[in-house]
Amino acid sequence: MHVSDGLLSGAVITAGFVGTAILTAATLRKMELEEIPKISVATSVFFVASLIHIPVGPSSVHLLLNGLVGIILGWRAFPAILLGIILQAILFGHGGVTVIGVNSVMLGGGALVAFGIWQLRHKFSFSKNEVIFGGLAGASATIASGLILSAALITTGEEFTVTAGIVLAYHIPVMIIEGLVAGACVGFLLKTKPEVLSGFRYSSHHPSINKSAATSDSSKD
Amino acid sequence: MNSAWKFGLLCLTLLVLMSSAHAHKLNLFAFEEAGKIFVEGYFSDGIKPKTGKIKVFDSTGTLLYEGKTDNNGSYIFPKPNVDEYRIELDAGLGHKSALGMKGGEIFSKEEDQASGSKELHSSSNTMLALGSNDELRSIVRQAVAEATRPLAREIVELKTKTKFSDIVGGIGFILGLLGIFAYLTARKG
Repeated sequence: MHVSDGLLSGAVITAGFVGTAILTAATLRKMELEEIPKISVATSVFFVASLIHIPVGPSSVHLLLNGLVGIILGWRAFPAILLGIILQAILFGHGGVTVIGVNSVMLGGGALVAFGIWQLRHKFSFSKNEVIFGGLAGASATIASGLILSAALITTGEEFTVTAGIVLAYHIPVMIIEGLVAGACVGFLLKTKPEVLSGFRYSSHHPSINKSAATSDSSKD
Repeated sequence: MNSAWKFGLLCLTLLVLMSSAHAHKLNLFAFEEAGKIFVEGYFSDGIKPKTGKIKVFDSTGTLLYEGKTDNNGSYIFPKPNVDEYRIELDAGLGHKSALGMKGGEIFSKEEDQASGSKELHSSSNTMLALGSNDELRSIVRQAVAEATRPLAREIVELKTKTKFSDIVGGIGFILGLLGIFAYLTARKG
């Protein structure tokens, strides 16, 4: 799900870069040193994920994992995805250099939507709600990115509803796989290292977890 | 805000340092044979654009032919009577290419270009097209183009294939850049 070079109009490309600049500045505020190792690992995962191809019918789709990055990094997912997209464009030729802004808003925006859905889990308390919301967040990131992509493609003269339909239909398998992968990762991380998931440190609902996460972090160092 | 500036600066440096990007392109190729124009499209990874929309315009912008590519990504139409015309292939979801034609020869290429910004990079084909009165030469050129097409495609495929070193290099870049970022943040704090 990368837009290529030279397809979109100059206005959309500029809007993409402006949006990326604003979102990067907004999501990087009050960055702490301890967050950086986690960001680099999540960025690497996102960077490599697009190379994992899953055969679906006659063609194949590749993972995006922007939802999972949103779940793990929260607001910091946006700069992480921006960095991943720059490197994908330069090293793999996915998308292109001029559309880095548009692609970042598209995939990074999806990650922020996923983070929003992920945070909703605090409002519900049934068993396994983390895994379910993790899965929903993973799937919703793909939908959100598809809608942003369709909006960007309007400028090429394609009808929004038609394009959105095609893009979303094409990404249904991706959506399902993303949801399953994100849900499984959340389930695994909950058992092994729950403080990796975003929202624990900033959560007001679980002060005890806040504390244990902070102490286990410092003890690891 | 301060850290955002630093991050932006790092991203910019990275962009300036490495500018050899090769995109996932839609290529378009056309040649004349027995009064017909054969058009063939293929993505740089070798996949053929099936049921891609093909449109042929003359120099004034009038639509001459319209159709869809078959399963091999090709489309055939009779050679138009006009001297100059344009072939456009729209494979959907943002993949578009166009060819400017002069007689039966490729005159200019616009690969993956927006229809609004027409950036013509005249290739060596322009030179050849000017002196194309010689029939024999045109036949030889066609034969050479035909014979080297699989080779050219293989080179494109090789170029766009993801190398393991690129993957490891990318991860190294991520860790290194964020390391520098951490260093700068730590010194300030």
